Order: sequence, then structure tokens, then C-alpha cells
Amino acid sequence: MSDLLAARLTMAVSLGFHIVLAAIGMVMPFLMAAAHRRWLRTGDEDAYRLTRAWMRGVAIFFATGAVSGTALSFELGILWPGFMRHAGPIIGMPFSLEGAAFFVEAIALGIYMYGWKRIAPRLHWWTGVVVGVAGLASGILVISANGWMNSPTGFRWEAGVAHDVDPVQALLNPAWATQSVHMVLASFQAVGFAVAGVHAFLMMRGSNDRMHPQALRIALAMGAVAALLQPLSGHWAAQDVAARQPAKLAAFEAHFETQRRAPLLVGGIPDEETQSVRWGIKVPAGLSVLAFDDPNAEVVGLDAFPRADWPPVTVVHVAFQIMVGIGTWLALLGGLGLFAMRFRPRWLGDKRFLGALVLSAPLGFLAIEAGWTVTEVGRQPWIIYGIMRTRDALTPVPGQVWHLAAFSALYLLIGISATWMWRRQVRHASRLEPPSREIAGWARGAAS
Amino acid sequence: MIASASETVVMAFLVLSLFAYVLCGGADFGVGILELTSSRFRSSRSVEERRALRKAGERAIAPVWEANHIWIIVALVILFVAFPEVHVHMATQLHIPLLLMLVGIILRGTAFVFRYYDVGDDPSVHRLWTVLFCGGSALVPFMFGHLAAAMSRGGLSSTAIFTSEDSTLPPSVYEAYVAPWVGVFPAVTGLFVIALFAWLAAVFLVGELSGPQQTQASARAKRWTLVVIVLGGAVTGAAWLEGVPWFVEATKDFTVYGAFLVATSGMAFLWRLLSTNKTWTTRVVAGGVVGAVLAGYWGAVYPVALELQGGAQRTWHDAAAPAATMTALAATLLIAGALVIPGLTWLYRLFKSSPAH
Repeated sequence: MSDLLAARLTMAVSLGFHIVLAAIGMVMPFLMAAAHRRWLRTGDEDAYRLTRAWMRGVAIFFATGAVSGTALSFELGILWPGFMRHAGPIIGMPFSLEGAAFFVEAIALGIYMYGWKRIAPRLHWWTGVVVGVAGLASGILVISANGWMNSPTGFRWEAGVAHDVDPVQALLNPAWATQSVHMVLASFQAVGFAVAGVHAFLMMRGSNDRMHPQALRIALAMGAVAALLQPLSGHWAAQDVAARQPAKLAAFEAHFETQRRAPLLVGGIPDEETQSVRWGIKVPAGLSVLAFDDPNAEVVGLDAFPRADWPPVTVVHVAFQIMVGIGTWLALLGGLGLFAMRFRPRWLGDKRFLGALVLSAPLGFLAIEAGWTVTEVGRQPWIIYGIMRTRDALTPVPGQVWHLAAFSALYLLIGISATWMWRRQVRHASRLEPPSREIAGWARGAAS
Repeated sequence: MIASASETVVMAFLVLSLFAYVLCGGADFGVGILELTSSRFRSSRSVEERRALRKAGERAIAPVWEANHIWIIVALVILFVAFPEVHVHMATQLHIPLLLMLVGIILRGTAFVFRYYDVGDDPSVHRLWTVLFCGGSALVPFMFGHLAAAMSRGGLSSTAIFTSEDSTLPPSVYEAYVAPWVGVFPAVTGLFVIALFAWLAAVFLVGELSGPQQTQASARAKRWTLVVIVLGGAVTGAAWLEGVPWFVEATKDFTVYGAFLVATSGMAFLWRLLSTNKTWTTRVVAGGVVGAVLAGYWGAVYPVALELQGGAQRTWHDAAAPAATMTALAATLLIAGALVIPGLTWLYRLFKSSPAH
């Protein structure tokens, strides 16, 4: 294995691991705050137990995510010094602001966890909200750095050196908005369905704990709304890619030949050698409509680019299909869930519906992984689109395959341990105790 | 080479974040080192002692431990945004110690989470986490010491990234990526940082325990004080023997003498404080000693960021990013500081106050 491939895989493993924790860190605090608010308003003891259960989730995932996030800040330089040497000063703003947001998140979480009975109940609830807001902010800021890699702005590139660096313009790069909206919705969708799936699982296993139906409604509502909005955001993002990174869009769709009335390819296995696709369904003029709102629009194909500038078409196309397929399924399931909540509450306890939720629990995360594969592999062979190739950013230190092996083993160990620990956490959920008299009194005291 | 106002602000935050990391993160790592070195690690007689140590350590760390470890990210971000040349030298020529430090951070961090939050008590699993937690806690400061020593000992090549067209292509992998950080001076510095972190934790824990356990903890803190003094002397000796460039300069520098004086007298004062009940005075003095050690190191090497082969140097100012970046970063850091520092103060005070009933 070449050092370049090993380094790319190491980055993929580290990011693929962290992205799950990051998504949870962005959304779980809001679930917690929703349950907490319900408890403060109604005094419902199950809402309190749920708040405590989800708080534990927030704390554990945040602590693990802090570690995998630290790893990424090291890996950027360890693996891609050629990139960081030039990009560091240009995209310093998103990274430093992200650090600040992350710090605020850690502080707010500390205050929230140890603030029970120690600070005013209302203020305490707000610190929980701040955890979520700061988590969202740090996610959105990191996406600015990635958006910059797709749409580099805020500098002039001359003879391999950046001149006239403008960090603010780099922060506000054109890909930022579409990418962050898409990722935020993806996180709400993934975490909403995953949490709903866990509680659906416990209900199917016969738990009569009244905490679970309540949890299911909160999480499913959040995931469903995000899932219904996501296709719109995906459309917006794809139009942006079509305008700025035509080779990437062509790889999404395995669109080899530049043409008017370009078809939309559903499914299929592309073959880069013969530049053809097997087993796909082609919707006439579909791609032209989606990319440019015009059935007669010309869509640039991969043939417009030198072969050396093609992203790996098969990987990108397959990942894109997985993402879109899961997105469609979750939007349908979410639509059904919202309908049931409003008009047919009994459906929510139906074994078939619960079963569908359980099976769909990991899908949102799979879609996130696929989506990042689409945007990262789709940008290849560039690390800074049109400016610097990934191979020119690679560390000169040999033996990267050992780095890959060590980190894969490390993350595998952590992944297995975390899963194992989570099973125990979930099993213990029903043993959560209702609020003590002190806590109930503390919350009531400030409400009056 | 006059530093601009924004460069000064950025530099101040870099020093602040390193100091905070060594102080807060250091005490956290120290807890793991203490567990590792607690006497009779395996004997059943000390199970109670170790459990008390662990519980006290967890009590001391739990709510703030994420915050304590964010400082290294802050320092790293400042480094790659504001001083990209310094960062690139570290990332390539000091690739291996940086990677090992990261492995330590990951092991320690995740092991702490699993050990602290896991429900139920499975002794064999618990032991695995303990080994990883303690091992990681020792590995990070050891590599941290290597990095600090390697940047200042004059072994780095002036070319950060070697390419095949380069005329200064290094003869071997060893020479390029191992030799810059391997040696007696870096190794002794690594041991010194381990001892310093363990000592910080030992001093901190005295105030967390009571009764006979406190007496024990106080004796332990005194033992670590001796270890730190001996290893501090060893670092000085190794620097002298190896002919480390800044060492000669430092012998003419009064700030270095001042810092040395503050550190040693602080240590002596602390020795007496450890026999009293003045928890917070003890802790503040310990923090002051660490500050003096860092100030001494900083005073000796500043304004040089990298000591290169053949006596060449790269100063922080030479390695700085464009002015626009410095201004934007300085503004960000000031705003972030205005949010984070009061927040942290609130968190620490809240956590150290007893729960209201």
C-alpha cells in the first residue's frame, strides 16, 4: 500500500469515527433539553428520568468525542504538513473559533452536570441549551474549513505560495452555507432516528417503562422533521456543486459524457475503464432539471476533464446512491411517524412500526458516512480544489501503513468497548430513579 | 524584528494555553502516574489505598477534565495558524514523538471515560482500562518533554519537508525523523515532565483527602518533590553535557536565574506547607513553581522557536503567519478568552463549592 493511500485511509478512519460522535454532540443536548423542559413544566417524573438518561449519553459521547477530536487536530499536521503549512494561516478563523465553541461546550456541560441543586433551575436548563448551541456552532465552524477546501477563497495563489491572505473571506467561503445546512440536518436526522430506535428496541423487548414512549416521540419528531427537510437541502447543495465543482457532480452521477437533457442515474455500477454504467435506471433529463432547473441544460461530464483530474467515480457514485437512498427512506418513515403522532397515536406502539424504527436506527449514521465519502472522495485528486493535489500535501515520513494499522486497531478497540459499554448503559436505563425530594423541591422552588 | 500588537497577543495566548495545559492537564496526567507508581501496585494490601487514590483522583478530575485537555488543542491551533513553519517542523521531523503523544492522549482519554462511566464492576475489564489509563498518562508527558527538548537542542534540519528534488536530501530515515529527538537530554526532560505532573497531582490530592490518608498523601507529595528536584538537576546536567545551544545563553540571562530562584524557594516553602492544612495556599504555590519552571525555559529559549543544525535559528517572529492572519487570530482569541475565562472560573468555583441542600 502506498503512503498516500495509507494516509488517506488513516484520515478516513479518524474522521469516520469522530463524525458519529460529533453528530451526537450536536443533537443529543437538544433532546436532553427538550425532556428537561417537559419535566420543569409538568413535573412528570418520567421526563426527569429521561433527562438524566440522556444527560449521561451527552456526557459520555462528549468525552469520547473530545478525544477523537483532539486526535484530528494532531492528524492534520502529522499526515498533511504540506497542506497545513499553507492552509493553516488561511483557515485559521474557523479552527480558532471552533476551539472557542468547543471550550464553551465543555464548560457549559460541566456546569450542567454539576449544577443540579447548585444553581437556579432555569439558569441550569439554559446551560443545557448552551451545550447544544455551542456543539452546533463548533460543528458548523469546522465545516467552514472543509467548505474552503471545496471552494478555496481569501488568497491569491502564485508559484506555490499564498499571497494577500484574507482569513475572513476564507471563513465565509461559498460552500460553507450549503454544506453546513446539509450536515446539521443530517445530524438531527441520524441522532433522532438512532435514539428513537433504541427506545423502540426497549419497548419491543417488553419494557413497560413509560419513559420510552415519551422518548420515542421526542426523538422521532426531531429526526422526522430533519429528514423531511433534508431533500431540499441536498438539492441546494447539489446545485452548488454543479456550479463550482462540475467534475464532482459528474462523479456523483457517473456522468461520463457532456450532454444536454442529461439523464438522472438511479443505482448502477459504473465502470471507469469503459466509461459505462451497468444496471442503472436512467430518468430522462432528470440531472439537467435537478442541477440547473432546466431540462435542456447542458451538464458537463467527466470527458471535459483530463483523466488525472477525475475523482474515483465508482466509490463516489455508490456512496451517493447509499446516501440518497437512506435519505429517501428516512423521509418516508419520518413522514409516517409524524402522521401517526398527529392522527393515529396507536400506530406508534405497533410492533411493525417499532421494528422499522429499530432497523433504521443505524441508517442515519451510515448516510452521514456515505455523505462524507461523497464530498471527500469526490474532491480528489485535490486537497484544496484546483490549487493543491492531495499527494503534494502528504507527509514525507515513510511507513504510513503502520500508522494506519495502529490507528485502525486503536479505534476498533474503542469502538468495541464503547458498544459493549452502551449495551450495559441501555440495560440500566430502567433502573433510573425518579427525582429525589430535594431535587423536586429545588426545581419547584424557583418555578414559583 | 519588532513584534506587532496582534503577534504579542497571539504569543501571550500560546504561552497561557501551554501553562494551563501543563497545570490542569498535567495534574490530570499526574493522577494516572501516581496510580501507576503507587507503592505495591499489585499487592492486595494496597487495594484500599489505590481505590482511595482513584476515587480522589476521579473526584478531582471528573467535571473539568475535558476543559483541562482542550488547552492542548488551543496551543496546537495557535501553532498551525500563527506559526505554520514551526508546526510543519514538528509535524515532520518530530512526527514520531507527536504521534506517540497522540496515542497516549487517546488511550488515557477513552480509558478514563470507560472506567469512570461504566456501570457494574467487572474486575478484569476494569484492570485493562486502568493499565491503559495509567500507561497513557505517563506516555503523554514523556513525549511532551521530548518535543520541548527536541525543539531547542539544535538537532532539527532547516528543511521541514524533504522532496526528491531537494539537494539537502537526508541520508537516512533515522537521521531525518529519529535523530532529532533521541538522546539523553530529551529522555531526561521527558522523565522530568513525568515527575512534574505526578508532583502536581500529589500536591493537589493532599487537599482532597483527610485523616490518615491525608498524612500518606502529604508524605507522597514530599517524595515527589525530591524526585522533581533531582530530575530538574539532571535536565540541567544533560543540557550542559550535550552542549544545548540555549544553555550557554541562559547562564547569562537574569530572567532565568530569577525563575530558578522562584522555583527553588517555592519548592522549599511548599515543603513546609505540606505539613499544614492550608490547601489553597499549597496549590497556588505549586502552580507558581510550575509557572516559574516554564518561565525559566521560555526565558532561556525566547525569541527562538527552533534551534536548527549548525547553530542556525528560526525565531517565532520569522515563522509568523501574514499580518492579516495574526490580526484575525488575535481578535478571535480575545473574544474567546472573554467568554471562556469567566466561564471556567464559574465552573471551577461551582465544582469546588459543596452542594447546597
